[in-house]
Amino acid sequence: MNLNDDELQKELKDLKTSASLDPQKKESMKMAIIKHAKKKRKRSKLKQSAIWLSTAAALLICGVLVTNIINNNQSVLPTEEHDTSEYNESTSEKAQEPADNSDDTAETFEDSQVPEELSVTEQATETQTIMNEGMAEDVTVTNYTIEPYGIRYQMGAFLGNYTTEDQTVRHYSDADNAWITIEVMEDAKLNDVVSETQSEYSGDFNYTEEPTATSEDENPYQGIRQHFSDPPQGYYAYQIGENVLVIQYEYVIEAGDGMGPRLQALRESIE
Amino acid sequence: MDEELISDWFDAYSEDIYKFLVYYMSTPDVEDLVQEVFIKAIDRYDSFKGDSSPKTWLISIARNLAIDEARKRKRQDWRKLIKTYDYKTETSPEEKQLANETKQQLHQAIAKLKQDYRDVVILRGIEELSVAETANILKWPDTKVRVTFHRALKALKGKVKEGYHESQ
Repeated sequence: MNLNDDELQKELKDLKTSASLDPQKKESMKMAIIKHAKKKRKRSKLKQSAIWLSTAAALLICGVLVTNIINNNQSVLPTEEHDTSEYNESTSEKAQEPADNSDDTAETFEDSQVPEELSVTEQATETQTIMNEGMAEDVTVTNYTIEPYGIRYQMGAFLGNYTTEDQTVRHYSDADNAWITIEVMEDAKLNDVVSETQSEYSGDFNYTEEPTATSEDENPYQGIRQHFSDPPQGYYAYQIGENVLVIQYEYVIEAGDGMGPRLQALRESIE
Repeated sequence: MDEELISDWFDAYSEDIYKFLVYYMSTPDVEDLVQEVFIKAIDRYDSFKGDSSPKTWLISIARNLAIDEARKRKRQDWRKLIKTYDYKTETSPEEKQLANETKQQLHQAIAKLKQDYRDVVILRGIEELSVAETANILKWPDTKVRVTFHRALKALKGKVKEGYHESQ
């Protein structure tokens, strides 16, 4: 068969098949899709309600706390100014109590030492070769250190955006369709952290991997990993001294090319 | 995403998605994938920006699913695929057989092409989508679509020749 461009294009057009979906199957597929859409809408409504409720609860708690603080501050003044007044004696006694309470509160804040806040320092970049779908690809990676723990890792430019919040640093792509969070759990045991992390993945996944020990070839730390889909997501947890490092990831399939090798490079870079 | 919209999309585009998946997977047994495409569309509707048509968006989902599926298992079924072609009643059995052989050779040659070439041959060559629509699905610039299609046709001719010599 020897074809020129026009003939070949004509032959390609002729490849249009007349095959079509079986009407019965099509109808049942449509039903299943509509059912899924209903379920999804219900779930997102529930999620939204939960967000609204938790926001309202948080606001309420803040309101109560602010009111208490204002009340406490105001109630101190009359006791100081009118402590000799017979009329205010009982009031001042009562007022003394909240004033004492506020001291207690201050002590409580001092006593409960929050862990030193996590921060990330960005260091030099370097070029690294990763294997993406069997093809060697040069990527620029940046070295990061999580302080005060001194945990070092590398992250590719694809996930070069990052924010830190509490004990977590979140790296994400420009389109925010792929992200990795790295969290340090202080004085924690790997198994406790894994069971807690696992409970975050209680969704309706069509693939759930069993928790598996991480490879010792990647880094020297004892760890557990688990992968779910769709969308692809999961975690790696490593016992690093007395702390546990938890890496969680999620990405849409469109952004997924190269995420596997990128995650592997990240795991291998942990020191 | 509400039920009415996905139902409308299903009515309008399910056959297009089915045909695209048939070409991509080289088998007519792709009904399960069609359903999965629409389920994914519901789950990812928030990421649909509306700057492309629903059809090209759905085809891009179908393409990603097909790539994943093809990695998992080879399900090419040429005989079944060839059976999906209809011919005019006046076509003689000899003509039909010759046409079927040509189609099978072409399908086999397309399946042997590298990913980029296969994408552009199916979308531009068979589906006859415009350069802009193809660029939208593949997230390429228009010029890349044109150049890659040209190269893909050249590569396809080579594969067809190879296949022809092998069958002799």
